[in-house]
Formats: sequence, C-alpha cells, structure tokens
Amino acid sequence: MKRKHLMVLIPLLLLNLSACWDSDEIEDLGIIMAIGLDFLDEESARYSMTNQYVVPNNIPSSQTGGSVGTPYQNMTLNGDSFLSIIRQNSLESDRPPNYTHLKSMVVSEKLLRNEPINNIISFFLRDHEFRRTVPVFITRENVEDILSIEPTKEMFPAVQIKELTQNIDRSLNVQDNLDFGDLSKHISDRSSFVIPEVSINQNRIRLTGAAIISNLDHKIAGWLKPDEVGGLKWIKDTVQGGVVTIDEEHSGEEPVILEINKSNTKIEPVLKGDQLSINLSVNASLRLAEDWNVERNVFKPGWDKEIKKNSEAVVKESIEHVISLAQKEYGLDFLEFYTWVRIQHPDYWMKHEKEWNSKFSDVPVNVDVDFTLTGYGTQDIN
Amino acid sequence: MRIRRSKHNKTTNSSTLENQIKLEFHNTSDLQFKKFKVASLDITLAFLKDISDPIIIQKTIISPLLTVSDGDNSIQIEGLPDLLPIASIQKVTDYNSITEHVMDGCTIIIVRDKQTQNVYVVDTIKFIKRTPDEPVNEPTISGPRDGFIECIQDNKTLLRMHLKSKDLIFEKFTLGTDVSTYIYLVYLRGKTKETLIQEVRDRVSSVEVDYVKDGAILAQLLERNKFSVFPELTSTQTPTKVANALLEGRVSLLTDGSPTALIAPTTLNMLLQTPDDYHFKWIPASLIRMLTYITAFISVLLPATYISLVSFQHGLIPTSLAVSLSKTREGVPFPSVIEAFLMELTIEILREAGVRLPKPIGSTVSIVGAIVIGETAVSSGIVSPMMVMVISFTAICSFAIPNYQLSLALRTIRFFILFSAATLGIYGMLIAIFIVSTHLVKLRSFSVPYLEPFAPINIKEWKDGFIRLYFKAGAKEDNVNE
Repeated sequence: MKRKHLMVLIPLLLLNLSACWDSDEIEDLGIIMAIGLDFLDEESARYSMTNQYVVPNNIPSSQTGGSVGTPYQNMTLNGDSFLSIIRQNSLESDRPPNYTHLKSMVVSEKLLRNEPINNIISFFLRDHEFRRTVPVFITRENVEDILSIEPTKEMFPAVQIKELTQNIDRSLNVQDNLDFGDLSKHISDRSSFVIPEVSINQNRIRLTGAAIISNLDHKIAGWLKPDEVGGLKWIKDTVQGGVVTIDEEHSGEEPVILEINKSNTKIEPVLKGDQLSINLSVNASLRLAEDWNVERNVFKPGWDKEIKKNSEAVVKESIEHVISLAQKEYGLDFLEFYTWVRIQHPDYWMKHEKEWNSKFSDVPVNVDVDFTLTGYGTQDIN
Repeated sequence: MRIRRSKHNKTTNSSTLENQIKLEFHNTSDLQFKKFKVASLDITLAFLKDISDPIIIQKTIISPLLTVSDGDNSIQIEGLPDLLPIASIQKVTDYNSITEHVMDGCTIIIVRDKQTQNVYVVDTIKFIKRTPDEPVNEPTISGPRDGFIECIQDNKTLLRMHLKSKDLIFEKFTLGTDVSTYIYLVYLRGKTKETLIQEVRDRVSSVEVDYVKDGAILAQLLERNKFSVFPELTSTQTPTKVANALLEGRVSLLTDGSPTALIAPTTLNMLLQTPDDYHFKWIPASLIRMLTYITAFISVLLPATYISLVSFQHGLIPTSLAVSLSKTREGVPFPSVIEAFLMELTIEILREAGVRLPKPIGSTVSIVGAIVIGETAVSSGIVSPMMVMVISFTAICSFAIPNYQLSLALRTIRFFILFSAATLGIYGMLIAIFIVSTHLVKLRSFSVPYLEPFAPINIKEWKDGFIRLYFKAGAKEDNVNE
C-alpha cells in the first residue's frame, strides 16, 4: 500500500518542476520577426527600438486571394533601456511581443559608435525568449527604413534580410551570418570580429560588406567593402563558392571569369624562437565559367596555365589587401589568426595574449595561393 | 448432484428416474419421453426436443431397434449399444450427469430388463449456426477468411483444421452456477510452458459467477489489473490468429456460444501485429509493421502535441507555420484546448453513431459528420482548419490499429495525455507519458511483461517486433519445458 502511495506521489512531485507554464494561445501573441536598434541621444530618450510585428490577418491565403495590407507592422518606440521599450509596446499593442520567432536584428551604426556592443547585446543574451541563432546586422541607414522596405519575394523584411546571407555559396561578397551565439563567443574571447552590413539600394535591401568591431572598445573600428569581404572569406576559410574575375588589368587580355568549386585555406603559425610568422595557403579548384577571349583553345594542353597564374595573383592580391587592412590600418585581428596561434603555440599565446593586437600587426604573413582548374564547362565554342 | 441415487439398490425403479428427470426440468414442455419394447427390454428415450435432432434420433436409435424381431431373445441389456449405428454412445454410471447431458442435446436411453437398468447417452444435438464467415472487424488481405462462430463444436473443428497436430489439446471447463457454459482451454503440448497452462487453469477454475455470457466477459473475469485500460487477453474471431498464437506457445480459451476466442498472455507487440504481416515478404511486411507502430504513437500523441505547441511552446513551431497557424486561428472563439475537446467529442460521437446504425445509414452519418459538420464548422469559424486536420488524422490513425480493444485503450490514453498537455504543455505531456509507460512496464499479462520484448529487453525477439525478419527454414524451436 505504501508503495502505491509513493507511485502516485512521485509523478505529482514533477508538477513542482514545471517552471513558467501558463498557456498562451498562438493567435494572442504578437510574433516579432525583427528588431531594429537605434541611438537617439535626446533629452527624453536615449535609444529607439523598432519591433516588426506579424499581422496575421493580412497574410495572403489561397482562399481569399489578394492581400489586404502589409502582413507586418513596425512599431518604433523610444526609451532609456531596451526592456522598458519592449514593455512600452503594451501601451499600443494588445498582443504581448513574443521573440521566439525573431529572424533578424538590425543595429544602427550610430548606436555602435556610441555604445559598446557587449552592453547592447547583454539583455538579449540574458532573456530566455531570444534564441542564440538570431543573426545581427549593422546598417548605416535609418533602422526603421531598412525594416520598412517592402520585400518582393518574402513576406517579411526580417526574413528577407536573414535569407540574403543564404547566398554565401553563390558570391564571395556575402559575409556569413553572425548570430547572437557567435557574438557572445567573440565577446568572451575578447576578439575583434565583423558584422555583415545591410543597406538600401534602389528601395531594395542589399548586403554591402561588413563592419569591423574592435576588441578594445567593442565599437565600430571600420568597414569592409563587399570585395574586401571576399578577401576575408579566403583567409577565414569560409569560401563556399563565388567567382574570381581576371580583368584586363591583370592579364592584358579579355576578362576571364572563374567559378569556385571547392576551397581550403590552411593557416599555420610558425614560431622560431620568439619570432612568429604565419603561413597562409589557399588551395582551391575552379572552373572556367565565362571567357571573353574566344580564341582560346581549351583542347590544347596547358591552356589553363595563364589563367591559373593570373587568378592566383588576383586572389593573392585581395588576401594581402585585407591582411594589410587588418595589420596596418586597424591593427585588429578580425582575421582570427589568434585561434591558430592559441591552439598551436599555447605557450606563446599565454605570454602575449594581452599584447596580441600590437604583436599581430607585425607578424609576417606568407600568402600562398594554389589553384586547380578542373574544366571549361559543357562545351567550348572552338 | 441433484438426482439422488441409491447406492445399495442398483435397480432403482426406472419410472422414478424418469420422474426425477421430469422434476429436474420442472416439467418443461419440450422434455420428451418415448417408451417402446424391444424383445424383452423396456426402453425409454428422454430428450429435449428443441435441441435434439428428431431425425438423428429416429435414424440412429429408433429404427435400428424396431427392426429387431420380437422373438429374438438373444439381445442382452449389455449388448444394446452394438445395435445402434452411432460412433459415440456412452454408458452413464453417474446419474448426476444426466441433466447435463440432456441440456447438451443428448438423448438418454434407459434400458431395463427384469433385473437391471442401464442408462446410455447418445449425442443427438441439433445445431443452429451460421457459416464461418470472415469476421467483420478483422478483415484480412491475403490470409484465410474463416472466422469463429457461436457454435463451440465448429470452432474446435476450425482449430483442428488449422493445426493438424496430435499435440493440440482441448481441456474442458464448466463455468457458471446458474447457467453453465463450457470453456475450452486450448494449447499445444510441448510448445506451451506448463506454468502458463497451470496459471490459466487456476484462473479459469477460480472464476465463480452465476453465468458467463460471452468470451469478452470471460476475459474481464480473468484479468488481474482492474484499473488498466490495456487488455490482458487478446480477443479475436479468426482461427488464424489463434493458431499463430498457439504456435508461439500461448494458450487460447474458447467459450461456448461466443465467436470470440481469447489469447493469453497478451503483449503490446502482439496487439499491433496482424496475420497479414506474415503473408508478405519481410521487407514490405516490416515497413507495414513500423507503420503500425508509428500510427499507434500518432493516435496517442498528435492532439496533445498540437495543443502543447499552439498554446504553450510556440517557439518550437517553424516560423512560417507559426505565422499561418496564428492566421487560421484568428477569430476562433475557443482556446485550442476546448476546441480539441469539442472536436474529439464530435469524432467519438460520430464513431459511435456509425457503429450503432445499420450499415446503409452508417455511411450517411459519416458523410454528414465529415462534410457537413467539418466543413461548416471551419467556414463558420468555430474551429480552425488545422484542428480539424489534426483530429481527423488522429481518428484515421486509430482506425489503422489492428486490434479494436487496443484502439479503445489508446483512445482513453489519448484523452489523458491531451488533458495533461492542456494543463502543462509539453512538460505535462511528458509527465503523462511517464505515468503511462510506468504502468505499461509494470503491467503483466499472465506473468508475462506487457512490453516484451522491448522491456525487459530481449534483442533476439526483436526479429518479430518493430520489424519482421525473414523466415529461416530449418530453424528448430526449442521445447519450452525442457
């Protein structure tokens, strides 16, 4: 009998562990797809925050046909802290904001110039409703404007912004998503990093390079142009596809465009005494995609020699440009060389961790690019 | 016990015996006596004319005896059985069993000469029965299509035909103090554990009731876990299933007057199998088996999962689905829990209505239910289309479960889990699943764990679990009692 009582009691004990459990119907929630953060620095309020709500009634369905209005609503409110702004939403929206479906977060340049990113992000990392997979973007435009651009193929601007980075295997100039999780990792690593930038181009959202965040003050140190993002991707071994263009400047002949199949970058820190140098070698296989020099005969052995040499030079140049930006112009290791040094020469790293930024600037980097041309496509017109 | 018989005087006055029989049956009008003389012997036949076949009596008893010439004095009282062209004629020494024999449709022959009186019993039962058709609720695609009927004699015949083995044993029990019912315990000697047979014997003989109406009622009388929703004995109407079970070393119980045969012990694994599983090649058969398991899980968990996701853990729904869900639920007046209960209630009512109604009208109910109620409920905004989909899919899944009793059990469990999910979301669902699985692990059917071979784990037996492995010729099964 005692055993039976216990059997009933044990499942009942589980009820104590239910934490916050109250039910909330899905249609009573204000699903938030995107948030935009901006800096006001006014007397009344320091920050502004834009919440992009889903308006379920305006979602076009197959039955009713054309849509009645935009399926989202942006609400921009001002305040001195983010949580207080979120709570202010309750004054205007009957549906409490729910952030579990947050798709993207856009931060304005102005905010990051004035506030360190770890201060901005702390609330979002702390709160349980924010997932660590939400990507963060930076913009030089007005945040509200970015979130108000009517997306053409997606339903929500938030999704449009996030999905743009899905094209990392299509273009070298697309910087991969940086999500909350990565961000917190970089902050606790005390390292510099880049945030992808979005801007408005002819009333369309466009990815335009990236912003460099310094590990010294956690604020913006500088910007990378889209083609510089390409160089960064070669260094960080995040190339998944894209094209290499050999223009007349490099070859003296008609332009040649190569498509990247596969790429692998190896970073090897070499320690001689106390002298650190880094060997960076890129191995990639490419395919001739577009050739403006129609006279070329690809059936002759050695047709690819010239192209290989030129393309290697192009890529090497872009890599070296980004390295010089990091070492000379900013003096910030957003190339993440430090991870390799830390892994392979932990003693050296322990000794120089504090002064890594200045050490990094003087490390000689040997760039070695080796390409393999695997083909010329389905048909050659010769 | 009722007919008293003098031990001292074996030549009890036969008219007293006849009177006693009469008395025993309260002078019922269908009790008949026929008296006639053969040579020097006085013969009295006693039978119930409603269940005894008069043609058999006439052909096998009366006419052979009447052809014996009057003057033939060589006929002795002991030689009477030799005159009757019948396979089964028994001499009755225990007069107590006479009433029983009469009720079985036998004819009692009382033979008397001057000194002695002998009583013989001849089987002359008249059967009213239908043909052993395919059971309605256990259709099969490729297996044998015979089914048990209400006549236990024929059911035994069917089993004998399915299992031509000298090891097939029928043990007879008589249950009921007011109305007696014959129960047959069937097993294959050598394949069945002696302990199991003994346990079933004990349980059957310990049943003390006024009467047993049906096999399904017997099953409930034999069960030990009164508060469990899961059946401890499988009931089936197909001889194939019983034959398969006997070959697996289970026992079966046949009840007189009931087309339902019981199989014990029962495991969950067994309830999810169909004879068809064995009729197809093993790879497609295994896929069907897995499908059955998935179906069982869906039929229990789907509504609860939906409720948990829609009203508790919204973050777990893919965003695009969450957005469209919130659109379809826009304007629905009830919280999803109430909505689910309403829909479940509707489905259960429809199902019951479909069962009760005659077949031609039954389809009308399903049309009214599915199209009219479902369609208009959605278009008038009382329920959301997603909910209709979830509930009807669940209903279809529960139809796909091979055993109706299990399907009933799972329906009950579904409501329990649905209620838990409605109070605590996925966490509540997990608590409910925890409780149900604890119960299942603890549950035993005739000393066999209900979840065998999954808990306790027995990988070797998994060849007939989630999958059904190929048959191997030449594999000899061990004798269980050795």
